[in-house]
Amino acid sequence: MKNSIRVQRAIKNITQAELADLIQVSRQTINTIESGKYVPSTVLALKMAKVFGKPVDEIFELEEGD
Amino acid sequence: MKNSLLIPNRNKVVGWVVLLASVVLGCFCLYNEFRIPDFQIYRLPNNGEDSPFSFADYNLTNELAIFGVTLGLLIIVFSKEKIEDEYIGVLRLKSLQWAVLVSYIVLLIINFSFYGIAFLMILVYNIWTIPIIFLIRFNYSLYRFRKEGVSDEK
Repeated sequence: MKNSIRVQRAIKNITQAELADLIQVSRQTINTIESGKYVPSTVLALKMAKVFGKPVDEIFELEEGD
Repeated sequence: MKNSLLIPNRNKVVGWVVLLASVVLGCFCLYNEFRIPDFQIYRLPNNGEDSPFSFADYNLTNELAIFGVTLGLLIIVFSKEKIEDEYIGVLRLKSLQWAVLVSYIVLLIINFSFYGIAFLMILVYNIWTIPIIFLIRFNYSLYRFRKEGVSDEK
């Protein structure tokens, strides 16, 4: 699964730490999600979508093989 | 997602105190024959016979040590981290899975390497293998998790 969190953060101009605070996880968790190592729960994905004001499938995208 | 089995982080200190105190007590009990006087429920019969286990030791000092070590480990294992989020929950479950697997591999190796009383002694210690391996693995995962994020901030 791909994600565009880094881009979305750049658009909103917030750091990993700020995003982490907004959705109540640790900054390292944001880091593992951004780098694709960890697929977050639906709850967390929806929280991110809310922060960025975008639908979830604009932030997370299926890849071939998923 | 809430994990209802976990207890608050401040209990972790309590767990370590209970564990270390019990380990010290256990060592004294095992190597210095230390017994808390009259700390027992059952007594040897007057004629001294106590079949079938005539070497039975009814003093509860060693039982207290085993209880304390187990309780301490359980408290530490089930304490939350200071910042507990879902990824840490994933690390926790992965570490537990790993600990169960490694523990049984160790047991299988011991099965063919130790015989008789030595094997039984190792089985006694084996009751703590899973929590100990879990703690080592989980804390190593946390250490790596916290370290890898440091350089990546933008």
